[in-house]
Amino acid sequence: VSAPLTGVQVLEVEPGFGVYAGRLLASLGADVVTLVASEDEFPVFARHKNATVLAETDYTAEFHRSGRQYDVVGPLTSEGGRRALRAGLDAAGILLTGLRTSELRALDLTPAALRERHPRLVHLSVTPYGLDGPRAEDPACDLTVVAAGGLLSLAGEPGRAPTRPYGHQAVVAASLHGTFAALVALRVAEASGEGQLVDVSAHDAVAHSLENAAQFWDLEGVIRHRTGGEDPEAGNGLYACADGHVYLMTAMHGGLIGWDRFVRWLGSYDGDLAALLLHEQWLDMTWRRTNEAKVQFRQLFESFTLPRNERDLFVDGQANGVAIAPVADAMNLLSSPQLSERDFFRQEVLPNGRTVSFPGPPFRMSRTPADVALYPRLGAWLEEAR
Amino acid sequence: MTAPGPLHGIRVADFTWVGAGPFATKQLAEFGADVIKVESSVRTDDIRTMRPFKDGVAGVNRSGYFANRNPNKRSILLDLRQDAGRRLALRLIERSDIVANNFTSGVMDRLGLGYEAVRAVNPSAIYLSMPMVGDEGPDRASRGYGLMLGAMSGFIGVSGHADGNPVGTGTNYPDHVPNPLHAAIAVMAALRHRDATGEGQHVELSQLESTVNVIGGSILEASVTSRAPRRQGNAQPGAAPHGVYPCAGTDTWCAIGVFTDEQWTALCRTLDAGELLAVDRWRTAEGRCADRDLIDAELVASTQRHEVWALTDRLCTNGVPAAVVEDARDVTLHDAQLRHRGHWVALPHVEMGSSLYDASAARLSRTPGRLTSAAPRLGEHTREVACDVLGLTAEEYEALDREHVFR
Repeated sequence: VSAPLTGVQVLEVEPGFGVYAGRLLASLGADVVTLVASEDEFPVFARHKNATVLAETDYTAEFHRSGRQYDVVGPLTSEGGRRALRAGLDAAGILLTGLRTSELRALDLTPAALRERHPRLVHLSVTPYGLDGPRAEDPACDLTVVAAGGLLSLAGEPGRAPTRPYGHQAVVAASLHGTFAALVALRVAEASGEGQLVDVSAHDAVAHSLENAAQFWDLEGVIRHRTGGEDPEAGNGLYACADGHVYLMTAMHGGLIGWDRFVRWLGSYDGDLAALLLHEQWLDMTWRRTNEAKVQFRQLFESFTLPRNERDLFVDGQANGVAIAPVADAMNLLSSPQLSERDFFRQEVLPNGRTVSFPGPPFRMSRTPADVALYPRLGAWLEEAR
Repeated sequence: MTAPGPLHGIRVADFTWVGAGPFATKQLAEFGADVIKVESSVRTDDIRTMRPFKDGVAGVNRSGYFANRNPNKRSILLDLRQDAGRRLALRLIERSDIVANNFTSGVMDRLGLGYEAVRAVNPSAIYLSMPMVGDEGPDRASRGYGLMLGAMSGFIGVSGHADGNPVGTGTNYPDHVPNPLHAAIAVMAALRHRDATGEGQHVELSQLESTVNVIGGSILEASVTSRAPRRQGNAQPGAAPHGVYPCAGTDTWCAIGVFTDEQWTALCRTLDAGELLAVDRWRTAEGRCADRDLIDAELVASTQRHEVWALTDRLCTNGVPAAVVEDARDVTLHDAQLRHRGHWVALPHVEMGSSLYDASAARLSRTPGRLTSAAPRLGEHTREVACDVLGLTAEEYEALDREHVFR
């Protein structure tokens, strides 16, 4: 049994916003080699024997940078760097870069040059704003792209600064769109022998994630704003329980979701409570958005949840067809019975002897299983190409 | 005439609904696959009845929430509770390359459309299922939505101000980014295997496991430090200042990230804040990171004097990563870069008129994706698909229609 991208060689040069794409391609069995100038560019856990105690470690970046082979070739503009780049391009099926047009030009990796010398190559370019246009060369980071793409305006508490979602989500969104599109282009290349440029903009990828905010503006003239910490409507939000919080969804964007099942569930424990929720005002979606409704609902529902614990509410609610979930953190997940039974987490021993856990692949394929290490397999294709 | 897309010839029997599933099959449809959305008029897709609606008027064919997830697709009504409806669904599956659903685990099996049933009629089919937490395990029967996955995965809890509430993205984010795209990626990988061997397979996307992957760093950190990461607002390890700062006007914000000493100098000069440059210990990243909160307070006093678009332009020109916190009006009307890339596509629709859709974030130079038709009206293509794809004669179609199989 082999992974689905077995035999696909990916050359990665400063992947930038495409860094998570490199990890995904590796998880699907592609042989991903990243060219770096020196060992200083290795992921931090590979570099420092005591890396686990560094105060300013960006664990997200380390996770994204993992899973592939690093090859030290000196600066890419040096003779050694250029030689490695040429050899890599001769053998690669996919080139993954995060370089802007001016930087591609300096390395002679422009679309025209690649088309002429490597006509079968799929060039996956993942940059903050795409390779052309008025902002193509602007400096950027994950935070500024999440802002420019509109997602940041929806996240955070009213009256305070908008807040960035955890985990470099502009990088994630761009890498995901890029990986999908690169696999479309790879299929074309393998069938026709014709490669192409896949030009991904992280800015576009973030704008693609605004749920329905663009359509609210387009169709109803309404601009959605951040509402963090406030329930959007009664029966949709975080509610306190004995040992933490649960997330309950009985309504979303002006529609009810399983309200009857929810009321029946409460009624099986407390008929009086259910009777209060059977009042027809709870079917009025306009009223449910009022502060009065949100406060009333919270009082009623928390009278039920506060004596109960998170896990019991989740299991019992779900068994009764109610959309309810525990609010977890990473430590809860590491000991989750569900994830444990599915052997989701992987363990690996780092160079400093410490064992760490990290997520297994995001998908399971019955014939061509995907998997990926934290630290690199030794891909030898680049050595052979030289 | 435009060339067919790169996935032309691939047919998708699409049983997905609500958020994550339809966004996955939208990717396939945009690149040319024939995506046939199997719907019910008895139990309509929840988001057909969710805001926003064209002109604020509700209707199953008027929701922009639904529309943006379903362009380039065809819609057939089938009553899957009737044997005849199920038989037609299996016939569609026989004639498809990909079969997709995002129901609660077990629902497709109960309909007689689980993977084993599909494999029996079409062994080369790629069967995508997207259960909430996977098909095994104590919680396998869970149902839910993106916001709940945000809570269960730890995403909401770790996003927000250090001294504030858990806030996440303010959207059902797992439905829009990790889950549809991880699913579409796995389907493309499975297609490569099928192209080479003729073999289909079951691709299972546990929406919880997929979402945990996009905050994989939190698991790594918890594992290394034996402590779950805490909310950090807009802070970024190794960089300071790094945050969102108020500008002139109401609720107007500028995002700025300083990663190098050169960017720090450029920021202070652009803001005419020479006094910040004079602080010795802030000349290194280490010193700035140690005084994050202090620097943020200084910057707020300074940025408030500036108009946001002009300030971000000047900062970018001077080499400092910066951007306006754009809202929906900004990204759709004012953003020149999104306009240049053709991000927003207006598609005409019989009931909705012209409305906005997001095009793919990926531009392919040789075989681009294209949005060519608006989301289908409920059951719009029922007869067309029944006759042209499923091979029913007009008489057979009419007879089944009289038995309410197409509803």
